[in-house]
Parts: sequence; C-alpha cells; structure tokens
Amino acid sequence: MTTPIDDPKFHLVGRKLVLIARDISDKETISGSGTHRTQRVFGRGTKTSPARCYIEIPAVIK
Amino acid sequence: MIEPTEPRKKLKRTMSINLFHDRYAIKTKGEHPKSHAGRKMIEIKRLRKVEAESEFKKVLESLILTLAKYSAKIDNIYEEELPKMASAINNLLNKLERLEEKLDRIEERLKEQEAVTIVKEISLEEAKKIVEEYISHKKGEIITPLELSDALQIPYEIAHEVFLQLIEEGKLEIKDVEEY
Repeated sequence: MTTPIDDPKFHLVGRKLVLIARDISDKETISGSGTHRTQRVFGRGTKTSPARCYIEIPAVIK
Repeated sequence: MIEPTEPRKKLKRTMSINLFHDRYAIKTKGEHPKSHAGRKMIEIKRLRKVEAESEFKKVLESLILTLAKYSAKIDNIYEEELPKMASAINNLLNKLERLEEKLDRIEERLKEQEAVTIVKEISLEEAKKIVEEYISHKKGEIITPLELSDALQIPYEIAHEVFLQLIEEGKLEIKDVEEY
C-alpha cells in the first residue's frame, strides 16, 4: 500500500504527477517564469475524501 | 340568234372586266387595286393595320405604365429599402461575430474540461488479475498506471497500487522515459 503523506514539510516531485480531487482549478500561468512557462493548478478535497497526488511512473512490461 | 340589248352588253363587258380583275387579283394575291377582291383585301388590310396599331398602342401604354410603376418601386427600393437592408445585414453580421466569439469561448472551455472517465468499483485482487491479463499480451511495451486506469476502467489509486506490486514482483521494470 502507498503511504499517504499529510505533512506540509514534504512535497512530491516527478516528471508527471496525477492529482485526484473533488475540484481542480483552471490552470494558471505563472508570470515571470522565463521562456519555459510554468503553470499551476490546485485540487481541493474534503476531510473524508482529501485531494491526493501520485507520482506517475513508466515501466516496461517483462 | 337574238342580239343582246345595249345595257346587257355593258353589263357583260363590266362583268368580263371584273372577272379579269378578279383573276388578276387571285394571281397577284389581291394586289390589283381595281379588282373587287383587291379592293376588299386592301380594305381588310387597312382595317387590320388600324387594329394592330391600336393594339400596339394599348400594349405600349400598358408597358409604359408598368415601367413607370416598377421604376417608382426601384426608386423606393434604392432610397428606402436598401439602407434598411444594409443596416439589417450589418446587424446580422455583428450578431454572427458575437455568436462566433461565444462559440470559440465554449469550444475553449470544452477543450479545457476534463474527459469523463468511468471507473468500476473493484477490489485490489480483482484489479490485479485484470492488469496481469492485460499486460500479458503487451510484453516489451512501456506502460503507466494512468494508461492502465484508462484502459481497464479502474480507479487510479488501485492501478497505482497494482503497478507497485507488479514492480516488486518483477513483472514490470521502472524505466526512465523522457516522454510518457
């Protein structure tokens, strides 16, 4: 089983993250971020069903 | 033999002259003005000409009247109807432009909206069986939990969990791929 982290001192990093939430905001472009534009979204959950974020991992089938 | 009287002679002569003229008229299609038939034909022709002229005049008058009526209508169209039509067309064009803008905005919103994914309520064990069966035909291919979730209609959390288990079991091997 994956371990949920709810400690704000951690953050997830990865090439691709999958966000599952009750409500996901529109994407916003962060200005002043250079030539590679950075965008941001946030997901909102509830106490019983919190927003979750997973690191997407590619794998080769053996 | 009895000699014909003077008037009878004259009558005969006149008749023969008329007969000559009539024959001539038949030959020349009634062109001889002195013949009886010719005179009749000339009279008929004159009457027909008069009739045709009066008919032509009537037609001409009605044509002039119709032209005048349409000319007035055309003037009216140029002066009143055309500007109205032009403004109506402009209004329609403006409305169309506004509608196009609205449609573009709707299209953008639709594109932005997420695709609805239908997932089955499934246990981890069942999901694992399905995933194993799914990957058995795709050896050597690169796969992600998101693809599994979409393809097998299972919740992403379960797909991710199964994925980790399969990596532990050695059925999948993590590969650092630039684009996935």
